[in-house]
Amino acid sequence: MKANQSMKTVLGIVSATLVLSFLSFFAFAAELPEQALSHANPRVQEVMGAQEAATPDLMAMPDVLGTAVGQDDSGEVTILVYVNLEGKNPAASARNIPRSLRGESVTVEFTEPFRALGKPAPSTKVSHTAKQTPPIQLGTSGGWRYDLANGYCCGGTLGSLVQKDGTQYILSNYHVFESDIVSGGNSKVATTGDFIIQPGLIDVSCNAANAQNVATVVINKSLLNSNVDASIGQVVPGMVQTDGAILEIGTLSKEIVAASINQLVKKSGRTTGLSRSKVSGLNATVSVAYDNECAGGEAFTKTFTGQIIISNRASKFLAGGDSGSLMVEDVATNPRAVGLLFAGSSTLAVANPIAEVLSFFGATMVGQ
Amino acid sequence: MYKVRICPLLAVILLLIVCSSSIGSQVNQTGQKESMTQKDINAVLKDHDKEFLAIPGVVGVYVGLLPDGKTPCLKVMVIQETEYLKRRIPKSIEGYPVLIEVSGVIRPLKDRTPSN
Repeated sequence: MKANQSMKTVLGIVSATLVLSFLSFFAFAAELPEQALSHANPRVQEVMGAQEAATPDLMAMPDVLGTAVGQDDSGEVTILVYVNLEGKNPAASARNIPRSLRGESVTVEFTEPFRALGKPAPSTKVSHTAKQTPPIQLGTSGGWRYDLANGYCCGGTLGSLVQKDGTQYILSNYHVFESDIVSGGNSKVATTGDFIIQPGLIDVSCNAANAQNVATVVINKSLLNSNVDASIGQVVPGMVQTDGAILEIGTLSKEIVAASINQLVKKSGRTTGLSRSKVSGLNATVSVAYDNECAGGEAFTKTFTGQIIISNRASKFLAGGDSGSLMVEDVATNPRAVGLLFAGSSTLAVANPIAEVLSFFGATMVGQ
Repeated sequence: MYKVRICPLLAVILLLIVCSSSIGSQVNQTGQKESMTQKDINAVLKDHDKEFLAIPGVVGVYVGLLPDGKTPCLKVMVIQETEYLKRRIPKSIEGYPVLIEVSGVIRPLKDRTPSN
């Protein structure tokens, strides 16, 4: 009886302790209301304090243009450091910036040099949509010559040059060269031998007569059964630079490199031109829905595995029309290929690992 | 009488001490065990990616890093964050943290323009 009473007392005290612990936990949680990220937000003020203290040292570093307080990709308040993408060596400069300062995380953003907005800067921009004088450089607008259906024309990027058995091919995506698989809106399906044009129909008012034939499609049907969204077109002799040069990137290494988290990368594409970012994830399993022709119905949803994820804030790295761009390491000369860009959203981009793409075709990169 | 009064109090104190020390050692033991036998995060992803993709609103899952820039985690890509997804997606799996990332729909990035 006494033992029973003792046990009851023990249980009572343990229960009360547990209840009190839970109550104190929830009371603490309730003291953390979500606040707008304004100057008044205590968290913003904390990071601003660290930012202000660290700014003089950061500004003394090469290619650093400025600092700010912002949010990283996961929404955490962070110190933003702006690195000049037209600087001497932005990739190396970014690597030298610490990942955290005074206990706060640091996020590097690449940007063009800041200019007063009163006067327009002299335009030195390379066009990725204009019709080039052959032999053309890649990283330019292009696509299947007949990619017009349902009141729209479509196009993407002629990304890079590969070779197989001594023959050169333009590498892009399946959904740029081959994805018209129903006769539906244009009474045509993509077929081996069809021309690939530069620029793509979307940049010549949907009139192929205003573009030039640079390659011919080789149907490989990478989708639906393989793990890459890739296609190649055999180069029309004399129409593409044989060294595989890409606009604003130049020639490549013939070697390739695997992606790694935080690896700095760049690409040259039809819509966003030359852009830089970093790898934020690996080994992704991702579902992507495909149309059966330009502006057509849904053909299938493909789940890819082992994909590379790249930060793509506000679609600054990759946007509609950039599909087919080659992603390379961000070094100044002869960069190695990392991935074939093919999909994304306004926050992230997705690339097939380049080794898997080349293996699918039995091809190698054209490079030094 | 005196003994009868003191016994429950001593029992409580002893029990609390034993409980707190055993909880601590459990955590440590579990942590050590996990660190000794924890699967590679890529294998964890491979074992669970289909389960994540089967949740309506999930479009992908990948291996990333926590905001500290060094701790590996799984990031689950969702079209939009909802209470349902917060409930369905676990906070951790096989010892690795799981984060929800609002990616939106993942589309092939071809572009199109009206032909008229």
